[in-house]
Amino acid sequence: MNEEQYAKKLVTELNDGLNGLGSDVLRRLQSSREQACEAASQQRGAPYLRSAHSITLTGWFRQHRLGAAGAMLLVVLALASVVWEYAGSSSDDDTAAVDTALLAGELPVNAYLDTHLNKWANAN
Amino acid sequence: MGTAVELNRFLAGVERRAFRQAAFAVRDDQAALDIVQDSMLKLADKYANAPVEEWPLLFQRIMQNTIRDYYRRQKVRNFWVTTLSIFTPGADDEDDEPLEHTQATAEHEDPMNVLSASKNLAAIQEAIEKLPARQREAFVLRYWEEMDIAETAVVMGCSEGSVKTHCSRAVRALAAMLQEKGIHDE
Repeated sequence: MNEEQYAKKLVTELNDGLNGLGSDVLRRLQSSREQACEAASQQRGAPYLRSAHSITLTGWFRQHRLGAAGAMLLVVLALASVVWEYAGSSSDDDTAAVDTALLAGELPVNAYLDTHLNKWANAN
Repeated sequence: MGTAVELNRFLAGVERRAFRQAAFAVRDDQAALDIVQDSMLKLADKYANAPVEEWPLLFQRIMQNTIRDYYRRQKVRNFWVTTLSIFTPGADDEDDEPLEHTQATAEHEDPMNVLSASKNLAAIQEAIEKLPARQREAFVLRYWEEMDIAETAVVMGCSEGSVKTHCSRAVRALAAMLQEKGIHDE
């Protein structure tokens, strides 16, 4: 039997012996392994390890959380101001048109009580 | 680049051998478990982004360095224990032995070895523990971890020729020790 074969024979015995490790040793090894995997996950802020080439959109948001929140706030404020402006101007336009029509005698005063006045004013 | 699942699978595959390898080197199960834990954490912390196929080599390098760190700490501790024992009255008879030897003696009486299902296994483990550190390292990496000569040389930080020499001497020394115990190669 040459050296290589003899070494392999010893290794076979050693591998068989690994099955006889105590439960406390196995528990400790498992605990160490779990800690290592948790550390690796935490390091990346995600359950998957990530390469530099695979940064996802969610990853970008996580890294630029403050900037993303600020940008979203600006968009909401801009939308709100547009809606506010549009609603205010259309209401003013309707009131002015009805007042003019009343003063010019084109409308009776009872027109104020007409629920379809807005429709009529918009149509004209 | 690996996933957490791949890292878990890799560590699960090597952890038992790593423990036994560390135990051969330091002859103390608790210290061996600490070494394996440190090595796993270092791999996860520094090399989780490395390609999966590089993990075995990296893990072995980390293990060897962690074992060397343990030796250094033990050396410093032994120095202070020995130095302080000179000033301790009545401590000269039993506590002469350095800490490492005391632990080694205790390990030989470890119940795990006594209760081992295989007499051969206990003898082989004991013989590997007795090997010089570099021979043991070469034997474990080359044959147990199934690394090729070049990889073993990288982990051990020596030439490929030295690896061959260490491996050859280790196998011959093991054969001689086991033969003394009545275990012959067939």
